[in-house]
Amino acid sequence: MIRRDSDLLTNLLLFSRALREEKVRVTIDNVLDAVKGVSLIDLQKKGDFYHLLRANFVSSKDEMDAFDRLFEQFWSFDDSTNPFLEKIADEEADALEEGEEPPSFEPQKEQPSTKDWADETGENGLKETKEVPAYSPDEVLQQRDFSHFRAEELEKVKDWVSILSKKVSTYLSRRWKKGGKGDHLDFRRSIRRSIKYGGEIMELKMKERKPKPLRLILVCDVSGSMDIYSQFFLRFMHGLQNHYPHCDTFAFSTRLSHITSIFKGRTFDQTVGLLSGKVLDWAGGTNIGAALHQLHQRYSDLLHPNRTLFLIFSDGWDRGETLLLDSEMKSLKRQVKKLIWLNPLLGNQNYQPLCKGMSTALPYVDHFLPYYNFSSLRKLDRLMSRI
Amino acid sequence: MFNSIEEVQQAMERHQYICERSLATVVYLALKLEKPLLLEGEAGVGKTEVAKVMTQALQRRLIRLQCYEGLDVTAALYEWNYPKQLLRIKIGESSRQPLESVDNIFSPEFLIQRPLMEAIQSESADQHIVLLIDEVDRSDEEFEAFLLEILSDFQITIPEIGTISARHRPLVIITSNRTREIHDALKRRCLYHWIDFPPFEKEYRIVTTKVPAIHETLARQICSFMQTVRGKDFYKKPGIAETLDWANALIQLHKDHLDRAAVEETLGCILKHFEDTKKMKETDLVSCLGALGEMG
Repeated sequence: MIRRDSDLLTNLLLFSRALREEKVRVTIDNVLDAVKGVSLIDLQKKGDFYHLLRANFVSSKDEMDAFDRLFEQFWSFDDSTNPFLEKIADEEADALEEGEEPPSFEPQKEQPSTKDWADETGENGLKETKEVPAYSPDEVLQQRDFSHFRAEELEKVKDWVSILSKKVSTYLSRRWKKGGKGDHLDFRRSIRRSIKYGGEIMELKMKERKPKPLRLILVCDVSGSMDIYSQFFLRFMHGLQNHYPHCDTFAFSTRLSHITSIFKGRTFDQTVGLLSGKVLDWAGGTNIGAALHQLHQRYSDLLHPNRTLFLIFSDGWDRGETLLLDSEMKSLKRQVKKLIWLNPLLGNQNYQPLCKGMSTALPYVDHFLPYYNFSSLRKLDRLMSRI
Repeated sequence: MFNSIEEVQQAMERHQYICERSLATVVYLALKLEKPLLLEGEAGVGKTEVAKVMTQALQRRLIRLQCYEGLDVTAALYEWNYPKQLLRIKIGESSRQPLESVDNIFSPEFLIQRPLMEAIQSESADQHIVLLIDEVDRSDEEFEAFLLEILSDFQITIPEIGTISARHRPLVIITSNRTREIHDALKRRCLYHWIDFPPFEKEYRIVTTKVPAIHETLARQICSFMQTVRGKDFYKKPGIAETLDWANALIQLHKDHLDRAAVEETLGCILKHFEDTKKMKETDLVSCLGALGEMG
């Protein structure tokens, strides 16, 4: 079944390179294990060969589609449908020599800037110096309002949002170091110390309990007026939900839906399909007070004064009762550590939070931030790194 | 030890685990290549069961590490036995032994072995190990980093003693429910396999194998019903574990076929979310039962 039996290693290397181009990251160890595996199976059975390669090269369900597609193309019998054949002839010689990093696997143009974010360790204050250079073509995109994007630009920004959400989740899961004075006896260090006193424990060494991780609650307004913006926020939410375990996500218009389980383990596009079925009534009005009330009733165990970070994403155009909104915001404020409100309209310089809903809610909000372009998302990122 | 994929598949079936050739292939490769096997899939599709079945099939000993948030080295790997160390110091003191003997308190004798250490240091040659690291997505990322060292070289470094290498590489099975992404480096060290919900025929075989007392019609109805339910939009789709629970429950209630009343009484076996139960009763039950009618 394999075109060049004498040259299986070459073919496997080429195949792994093709996979890398599809963003399935295959290491040289994976290839070597696959080669070892070949001697263990019967090559006449294409299915076994397929599973051998899949188990070695794929490491997530999301990569399976790309793998299946390439597998069919690469290892097919029919010469006319195999676009790799010419490549094999051309590149065979250098493929064997270079191993892990083929020259075709170069970062794409837009990557230098996004790579910087991924590389940042998240220490406070460092990020300012790592801003994307001003002449970068991406700069324009970063400043542009989400609602003014062309379709192909949209794709790029979508990737950024995913990367950033992953980065935020690493701040949140970071643990603090053990302090010198805590409430727990550190036996190990105490005994170590006692040796110099001939085994008599003279000094007690203490250790501090690691702080429990912050719980994150993200609530997204998906009513009609928010349409284009909430698509971006949903993507951000989806990224966080899949990278940070202590996270719960909700969407609301007139009523509230808990969408954590819809996000988990699904790709964003699958999620949107599911959401638009039952949660997203883009055309609907907004009732923030009622939505928060619902959240209080059903999900109050998620709220904790020291540990919950609460993010609301909404333009504040509320059609519900002001009194209800006021009382709900007041009690919410007491039940969470920080209340952050993101508003897409804040991008407009002339915007004043005068509309009824926003002015009612504002006194209870700890941080009021814009969310209308990618730059504002990075502001949020900076804020999160400080909390 | 097995010499072909067929042998693995047959052995698993002998131990009442019905599986596709694809799963048998990766298990076989995990054994032959001595690589850990990462199994992902929805809850209740039988990921953990693979480790249990392989333990029986290989006649090995199962060591299980259940992951949870905050799991750390002292709970997973080893811990020094502090009270014993203290006593040793005291004895040394009262018998006026020289101070050097204190050094010995950091020897294997004073080590408490936790699951991972136990798996690597299995004493006797005939007692091979299956190591199950269950629900790794629940553990913290720092713990993952630490698993990386162990799973790539099968060795543990203890500062006071040195490096301990595994005499026999255990079969390592790692499961994840995908509540979060596992770190890429860890995943790349493993063979990967996704276990899907079973198709009808497979599920039917599983039910009749695991619940031999079940009536054929009821088994068919249950499986067909579950296929329909999984096609619907629920928060938490029921797995094979739920199917088996349900089959057992229906037998206990002396049901020999499915009808509206029977399903409503036992709905708690398959749907575990309030919203799902509500949605089922209000909208989906009719169509799910309807699908049974078509089947005959």
